[in-house]
Amino acid sequence: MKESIRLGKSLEIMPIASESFGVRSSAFFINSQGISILVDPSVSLAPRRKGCPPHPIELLTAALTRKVLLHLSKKANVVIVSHYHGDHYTIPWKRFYEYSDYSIFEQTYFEPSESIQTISWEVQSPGKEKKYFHNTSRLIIAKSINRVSWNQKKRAKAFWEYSLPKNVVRSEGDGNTFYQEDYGLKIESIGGIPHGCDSKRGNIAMTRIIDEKTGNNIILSSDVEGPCDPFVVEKIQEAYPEIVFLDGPAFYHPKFEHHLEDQIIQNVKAIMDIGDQIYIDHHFNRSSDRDEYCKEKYGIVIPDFARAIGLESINLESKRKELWNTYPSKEIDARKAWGLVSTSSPLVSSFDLNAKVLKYLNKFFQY
Amino acid sequence: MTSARDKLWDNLIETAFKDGEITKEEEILIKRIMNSFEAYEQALKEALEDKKITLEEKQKLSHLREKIWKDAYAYAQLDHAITIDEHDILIKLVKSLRDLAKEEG
Repeated sequence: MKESIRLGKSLEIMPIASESFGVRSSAFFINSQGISILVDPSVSLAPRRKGCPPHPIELLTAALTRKVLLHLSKKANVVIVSHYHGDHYTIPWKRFYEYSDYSIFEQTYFEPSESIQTISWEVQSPGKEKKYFHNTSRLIIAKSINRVSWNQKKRAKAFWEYSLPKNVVRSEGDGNTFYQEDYGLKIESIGGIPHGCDSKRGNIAMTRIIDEKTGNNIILSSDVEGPCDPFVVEKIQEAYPEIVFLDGPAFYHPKFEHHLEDQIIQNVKAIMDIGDQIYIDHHFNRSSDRDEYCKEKYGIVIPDFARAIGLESINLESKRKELWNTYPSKEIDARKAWGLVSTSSPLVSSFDLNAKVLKYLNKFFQY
Repeated sequence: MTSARDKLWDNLIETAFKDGEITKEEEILIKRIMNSFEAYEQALKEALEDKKITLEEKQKLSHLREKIWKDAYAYAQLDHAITIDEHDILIKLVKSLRDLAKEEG
């Protein structure tokens, strides 16, 4: 296991959670010469899939993931919110299968550790000459409240209305660029990106992280679902990233529009042409046959986020029915799973399937 | 020793000639790339004068590489469709720019 992906001398990318790690999420922790960036810190489980509720093995994985994200959120200089769905954004009220409530929301975004260094950021909006500056120990770059669905708007309100502590700055993403001169680190929030294949869901913000000194750069796509839209491909091509972490199509969903399939295949191939390394996960890994599909359509198995660091992908949601058949025990519920996770002693799995993922996650408490 | 400019030119021409002809469209795109390459080449030459590329110079070179790419990509997109010929040249350009970055160290 590599534990992280290194790009050039300074970018270290650690996928924290996604379907290949056993939960619904697309969370990353990125380190560049001591500046740390936490992307989409949240976790979720499908309340019902294949007629079954989450299995204890999923509950344990999700509980540990949430506690790791809370731990990392203390350390992060930058937190990014790509949009306001519960698997990307910590919703400020009680959600059973997301291990969220108001206190967890506050801790995730607004309570960085006092020991975090203050960093100055230069912010530039597209088409505007004037730059402005933030000097802060916590910069939150979040999708604005514009062009999001009604449900997301409700969830985002608490975020945008929160009274900020002194050391935290909140800034809209949606096309803005955030530059840290001393470290040569640039974060671009690429706006106007359609949220999956359904235009009613509005937009998300895609993230590009660039080491300005070498030109090394990566893209974290968030919910592009495919991508379905050629505009997303255009934006990725324009950025010419070495590494792309892509959200794949939601084939598992009964409402998936199969007539979009050819367009998606064409889009993924175009992205594969540009990037040196492509990883596809999230919605795509909710289908149990994602590898066979890749082989058939692209001639290779495009790895997911877990395999990017040499872990075996566990895709628990896609195996839910089999999990209940194999291990029918209902001994662990969501509350018990939460209680079993401690930040001081590693959570050891009683199941083989998620043992390596838990081992990987436990290590982040030392960070 | 082959210069960076000659190497890029050879790579692009070789790619364009793969199907046995260089179309007008390919020729224009390659010429545009080579034009925008001039600034990079000049900056590289200046950076190498003291045989050491500083961090500041590296950053400048990285910006110029990105500019070469963005100009070429925007030009190929002008008619709202990137042809297969243009696509192949762009892919070769990306790879060549990455090689240049690696050579800078």
